[in-house]
Order: sequence, then C-alpha cells, then structure tokens
Amino acid sequence: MANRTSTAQRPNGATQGRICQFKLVLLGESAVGKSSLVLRFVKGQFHEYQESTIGAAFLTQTVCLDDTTVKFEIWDTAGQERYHSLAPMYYRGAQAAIVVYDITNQDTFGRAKTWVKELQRQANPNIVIALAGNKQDLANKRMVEYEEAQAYADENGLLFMETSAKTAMNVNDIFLAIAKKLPKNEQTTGPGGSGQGRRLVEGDTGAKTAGNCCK
Amino acid sequence: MYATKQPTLRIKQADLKCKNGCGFFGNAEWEGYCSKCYRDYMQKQRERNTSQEKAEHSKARIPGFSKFEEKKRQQIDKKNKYLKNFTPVFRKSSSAKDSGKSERHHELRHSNPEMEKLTAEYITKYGVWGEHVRKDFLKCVNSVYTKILIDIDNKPIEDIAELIQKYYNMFSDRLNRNSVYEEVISDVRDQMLDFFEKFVMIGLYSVLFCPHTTNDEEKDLAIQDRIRKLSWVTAHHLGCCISETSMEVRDLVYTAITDLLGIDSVKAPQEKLACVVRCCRSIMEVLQHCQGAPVSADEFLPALIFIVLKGNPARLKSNIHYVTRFCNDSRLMQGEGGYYFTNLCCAVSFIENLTAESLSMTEEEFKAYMTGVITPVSAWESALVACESMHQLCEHLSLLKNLSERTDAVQKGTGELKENINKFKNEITKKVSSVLAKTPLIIKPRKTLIDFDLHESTNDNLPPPIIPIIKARPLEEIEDGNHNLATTNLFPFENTGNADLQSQNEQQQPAFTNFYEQNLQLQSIGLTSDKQKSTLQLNITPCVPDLQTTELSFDNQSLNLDEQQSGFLELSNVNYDIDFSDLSADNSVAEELTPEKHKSPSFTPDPFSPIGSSCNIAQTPLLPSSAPLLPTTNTAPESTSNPNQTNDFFLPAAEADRVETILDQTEEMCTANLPTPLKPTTSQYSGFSKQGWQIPSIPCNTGDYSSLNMSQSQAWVPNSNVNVTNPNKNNQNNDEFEKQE
Repeated sequence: MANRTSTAQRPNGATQGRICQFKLVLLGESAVGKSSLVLRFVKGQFHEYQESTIGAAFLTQTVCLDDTTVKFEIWDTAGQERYHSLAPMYYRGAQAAIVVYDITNQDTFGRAKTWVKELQRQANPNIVIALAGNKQDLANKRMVEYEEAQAYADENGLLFMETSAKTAMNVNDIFLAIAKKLPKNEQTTGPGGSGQGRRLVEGDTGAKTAGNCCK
Repeated sequence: MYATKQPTLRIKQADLKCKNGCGFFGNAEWEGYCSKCYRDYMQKQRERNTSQEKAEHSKARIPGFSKFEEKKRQQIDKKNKYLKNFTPVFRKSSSAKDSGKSERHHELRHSNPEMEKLTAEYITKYGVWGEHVRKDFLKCVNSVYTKILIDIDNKPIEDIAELIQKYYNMFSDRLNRNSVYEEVISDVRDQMLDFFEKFVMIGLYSVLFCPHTTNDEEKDLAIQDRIRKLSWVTAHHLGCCISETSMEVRDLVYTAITDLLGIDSVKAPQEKLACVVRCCRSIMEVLQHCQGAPVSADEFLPALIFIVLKGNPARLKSNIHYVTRFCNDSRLMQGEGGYYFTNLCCAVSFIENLTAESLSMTEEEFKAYMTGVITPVSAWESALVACESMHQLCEHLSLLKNLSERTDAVQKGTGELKENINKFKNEITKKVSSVLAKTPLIIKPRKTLIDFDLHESTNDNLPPPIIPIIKARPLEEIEDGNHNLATTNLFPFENTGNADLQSQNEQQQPAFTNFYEQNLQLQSIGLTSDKQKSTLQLNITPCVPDLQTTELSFDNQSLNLDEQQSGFLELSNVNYDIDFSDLSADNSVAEELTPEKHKSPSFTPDPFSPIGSSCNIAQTPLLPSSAPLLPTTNTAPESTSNPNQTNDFFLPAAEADRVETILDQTEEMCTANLPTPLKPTTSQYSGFSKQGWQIPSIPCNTGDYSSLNMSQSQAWVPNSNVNVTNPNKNNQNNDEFEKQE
C-alpha cells in the first residue's frame, strides 16, 4: 500500500480556497500526553471524562486563521516501541506532525529525536514538524532542559513549544503556529520557523482569540 | 458431429473421442476435441477473428451443454491470458481480446442483478437531476467498465488501480466542469462521485476483488493461518486492557468482531471502509468501558490487533488490498475511515511481522507458544468458551430475577385479594347482620297476611278463592288420573275439618294423622246419621271457598309448624280432592285391584298407592282401616274392621260425614265462618259452585266413567252399591244445598 503514495491527490489538502484541511500526526512515546494534548486542544478538557468523548485517537478541530479556515485532522499514533515500525502508515500523506515528549523524562526526548529523524527522512518532504515538550506544569521535575530542546528544534527547523495539557499552556498556540506555518510552508522552513513559534508564545492572548473563534 | 448429436442417456465411446479423430479422448470443455486439437482449433479460431460469432454459433449448436460452455468460456479467457503472458504472438490478436471483453461486458451488464439494483438506486437518489445527467453518468461508468475490462488481463493490478483512481479524478473534474452537471449542487456532486465509485466498483467487483493476476488469495490463506497460529495471544500479551469478565465488554467485543467480519460481505470500497469504522468504534467503546477515560491510540491499536486476532476475518488481505487499490484516495488518506483503515493495516502488518520481541517475551517462550508446547494460560480463550454458558447464566439469572419479581407481585396480589376477601366478608356479615336485625320486619308481613286472612274470612271474600280450585281440579284430573280425582273430592272435607279443628284447637300440632284420626272419629260418629250427611253436603259446596280460607289458615297456623309440614298439608289438600273424586269414580283404579283386595284384606290401602305419587297420602285416609289407628279411636276399628273390602269406598263417605260434623262444630264454635260459606250460595255462585263442584267429578267420571264405569259396574257389582250412593249423596247434597238457600 505504500507503493501508491505518489498518486494521492487531495483536493482539499492544498491551500486553494478558504477551507484548508490538514492531516496532523501525533508522535511520541506512550504516556507523554499526546492524547491529553489533543483533548485539551479539541475539547478544551483535561482528564475530566465526558461521555461524549469516545476517543482521542481520531479528532478534528477547526481554527480560524486570518482569511482561511484550517481544519485539523489529528491522527493519534500508538507510542509503544513495538508499534514503532507501523508509524509510516500513519504519517504517510500527513502535512503536519507534532512530536511530543515529556519534559520530566529524558528518554521520551530521545525517542522524539528519533521520530523527527524518521519524519525528515521518510515523510512528506514538506511536512511541518512541531516539537512539544509536554507536562510543563511539572517543570520542577524537569529532566529535559528547555534550552536543550530549543537548540535541537532550531537545528532541525522544528516548531518548538513547551506545553501543558493540564494548564492548557501553549496548547492552542502550537496548533496555531502549525496552521500558520502550513500555507507558507516553504518560507518558514529553516531557523526562522522556531523564532515565529517563539513569538507566538509571547503574543499569547491574540492568538488564543483567533483560535477560539470557530469553536 | 459431436455437437450436433442429441444428448442421450448413454454416451458412446466414439462420442468421447476427439472430434478430429486423432484417437485421443475429447472433452466437452474443449468442445469435444482433445487438448492438443483444441489448442489448434482455438488458434485457428482466433486467427479467423470470428470467435464471437463462433461462440454464439456454438451456443446455438450445443443447447444441452450450456454449463459446459460457461466453463469453456472461462477456460478460454484463462487460456487467452495464459497465451498472452507467455506467447506474445497471440497478444497481438486484439480482436480476440475485444471479443472476450465484450462478452464479459455483456455479462456484467446483463447477468448481474446488482447492476439493476444500482441503477434503481441511482434513479431514486439522483433521478431528479434529469435524464441527461443520468445518461452521462452511465456513459462514464460504461467507459470505465470497457477500459478496465480491456486492461484487466494485460496490466498489473497496480496499474488498474491507478487507472481507477484516474477515473475517479476524471469524473470529479467532469462533475465540476461539464455543463451537464451544471444544475447539480455541489453537495450532490460529492455524493455522485461516491456513487460513481460504488457503481464502478460493484460492477467490477468480480474482476477486481482478489484478481487472479495477484497472489492475494495466497496471502489471505497465509494471514489466516498466521492468525490461527497466534490464537494464544492474549490481550495481556498485547498490553491492552480488555476486561474479559465484564459482560458488557464481551458483548462489545463480539460486536466489533462481527463488524470486522462484515467487511467481506459488502462490495463497494466505501462500504468495506464503513465496516472497519463500525468495528473500530465498538473497540473504542470497549476500551472506554475498561479504562473509563478517553481512548488514545496507545490503547486502541493493541485492542484492534487483538480483535483482528480473535476475529480472523475471511480474505482479510484481499479486502485490504481491494480497498487500498480502489477506494478513492481522498477518502483513504483522511477522515475517520482513513484513520481506522490505516490502523487496520497497521494491525495486519503487526500480526504479519509479529515476533517474540513485539510481544515482549523471550524467543523460547514465543516458540513454545507457536509450536503449541505451552497452551494459552488464560483468559480470553477460556472466556470465549465459557462465554456462551456465562451468557446463558446471566440470562437465566435475569430470568430468575424477573420470575422472583413476578412471584412477589403475585404474592402481593394474593395478599391484597385476601384482604379484600376478608373485607368483603366482613362487609357482607355486617350487612347480613344488619339485615338479620331487620328480619323481624320480614316476619311481620307474614303476620299481616294472617290478618289479611282473618279479614278475608270476616269480610266474606269468598268468590276469588273459588276460581283457583276450579282451575286446579281439571289440571289434577289431567295429571293425576281418575282415581286421584276421588281424593280431590275427599280433601276439602278434610280441610274444612282440619280448619275447623284448628280453629277449635288453636294450638294444635296438626300431625297429619291426627286430623284423620279426628276425622275418623267424626266419621265414626257421623256415619250413621243421615242428617249429618245432609249437613255435610250443605257444607261441601260452601266449603270450596272455605278451602281457601282454611288453606290460608293453615298457613297462618303453619307458622308454628315446619314448612315441610305445611307443604305436606297443601299436597294433602290436593290429594284428598282427588281421593274424593275417586270415590265418585273410584271404579277406574279400584277395578283392577279388586281381585287382590279380595285375596288379602290387608291389601286395602294398596290400590291407591301404586296409582300415583299421592299414594302415600291417599293411604292416609285409609289409615283408619289399618290396625295402628285403632287405639286412637274406639269406634274406628269397628267401622273399618268390618268392611275391609268395602272400606275404600266407605271412607270418603265417612269422611264426608265426619266433615259434616266438624262443620257443625265450626258453626257452633265460630259463627263467623258460617256466613262465608253461605255467601257463595247466592244464585250466581250456587250454580257455579254446583258446576264447579260437579265439574271435577263429571269430567273424570265421564272421561273415565264412560269407558271404565261400564266395565266397573259389572265387575264391582257388590261394591258399587256404595259407590252409587255417593253420587246420589252429592246430588242430594246439592239439592239440599239449594233448598237451604
């Protein structure tokens, strides 16, 4: 099935038109909080369990960005090591990926690095990759330094933010950053990309209102 | 020629030989040629470019071998393919290909009932958009059919898939750009694109699903075998948390498995995808039940692998390949269906490449499991086995619960019913007691009756009572017969006597015999006196009205008596009437019995007993003749004992005499009674009373007399003298009665 990726043609995947739909893959070791991140982004909830939430494996969320509406289709992946080899099937054809690691666990950061490598090597060459250091609320137990991760992101041209699904810190921002980066994919690749993401973290409120308009 | 032969029951050996006569055996699949000759024949046929005509021709020629021809055609197709693949020379003969294509196309168009269904579905869904839209749609579909059927045999399946995808895109473009679809709104265009895909794929399903150019079937078998070998894998091995004990979870697991198995039963790629989505949603629910939190892919994928392992769907690989090849890419690459299908592909891929490491166990352990050295330790397998019984157990438990609930309800109901019954009982007893308290009031009206009777007697309301007696007599005549009539005549005397006696002795206990004893006494007294007889007869006529009064008086007095006695008295009244008539016309019965009477003097009471139901009572007047009565009256034995044979006939007379005396007594005792009997003696009633008096006797006499009296008179010569006297007495009585007036 992998032999036919070239023929994939997505009428909505391109940026023409006002509504853009993007496939976003969540990668990362299990228990780093991938699904929590998505649930916070999509449902605005954390841990409090609602009947309506059947699963966090496949979710969609729409954000408004200037004149375009960006619809994220978020594919969660199994993070366990044993399913690592299956990941290409998920990120095949994805326009964006968020690689999540746990800032309290150095190993997860190591795994994140391998994911990034793999994506850069195998995935869609124009894929937008964001690195998310989750569980920022547990910063006192931090094992992965912010600077270290930031340096790595800069090196590899990744969007980078430290997020917290629990406190919702940077959750919407990282998705918005990706949404902004997606249409102008070619321009933002490189060291500048991370700077943009950084800027967005600082300009928090404005971005949030933009993100909420379509909810 | 072989083909022209009519099919017969026996096939000769010559028919089995090759048509070319090469000596080898032929085969019906090869149109009667041997394999070698058939190949030559086919070559020639192809070279002649007339295979289509030939096919039709052969169809016509061999009507009995249509099935064989079907097979043959398939064979040809295969052969074509074979030749194409290995002998490029034949591939150039495009005409044969065309013919094959058109045949198959024909087959697709006409022999497939699903196509009709699809066309109907199109009309119901998109028929509103007009005929030109429909025509263009079907034109596009047909062009795909044609192209694919041409290419299917000479291109790898991947190229065909590319082609199909191109067609999807082409049709999508056509929908958006062609003027034909201008009127169709954009939403419907998307739906039409989906329907186009469905239409094309269902039409080509037989060709494109598990095509023979691929080794899909082998892969199917391989994965099936693999899954069977991995049946020992548990949810625990996969690191997913499916609680096997929860019934709800089990049900959901089965739902998921069923949905997954359904993938093979639908044809369109989007339908297969829908099956996968349903299955995965069920799995989501399972996991939600197990962990009570939103499900992430970390849990979902192992669960899906587990479900695939337990479900072991048929033709799994073929289905997956079919969907990946021919499902519209845009659907497969995005959306829920795409996501879940990707997960399914991942699960299958994981199962195919499953190693000891991926189950986080040692190589030795894995090998032991795979070779069956270690049997599955737990859980799901046994749960699966036990599931049915568990399920039944649960059902039975719920059933029992239901039953117990119902029993409780029933018991409650019975309790309520009991209460109600008790309430009702109490109410009824209360009511009854209250009514009983009022019962004296009910008795009082009876007392008023008594008063009424008294008034009646005093007021001399004689006439009305007469009528019932008159009526009663003929009835009795009819019913009881002649001799009973005699008793009827007897009775009034007795009654009057009784009444008089009762009036005399107000507190009497009128045991029936007592009356007669008294009567007998009276009889004995008055038998001899003619005067008394005459007075008796005076009373006889008036006593008819008296009868009523006496009856009533009986009732009054019977208040003291038992009802049976009173009833008995009433019956006795009737019977004695009859007896009396019997005296006047007693011949009828007595006649037959006389011989016996002569033989046995003690037999005297019997003549009346067999005659009717009143026999017992009829005997009672005769009792005075019998011994036991003797002590009561001294005179009675004398009178009765002497004329044993004639006793029957004397008795009424005696009774009449007796009554007479009673009447005399009554006259003496209560003068009020006297006028009452006298009043009917007015001119109207006298005549009437005469007739009324005589009517009972006359009809019974005449009716039976006419026939019986004649014979009786002769047979009863000695006795009849007495009998004769009685009517005379009656006459005399009447006369005297008239005289008294």
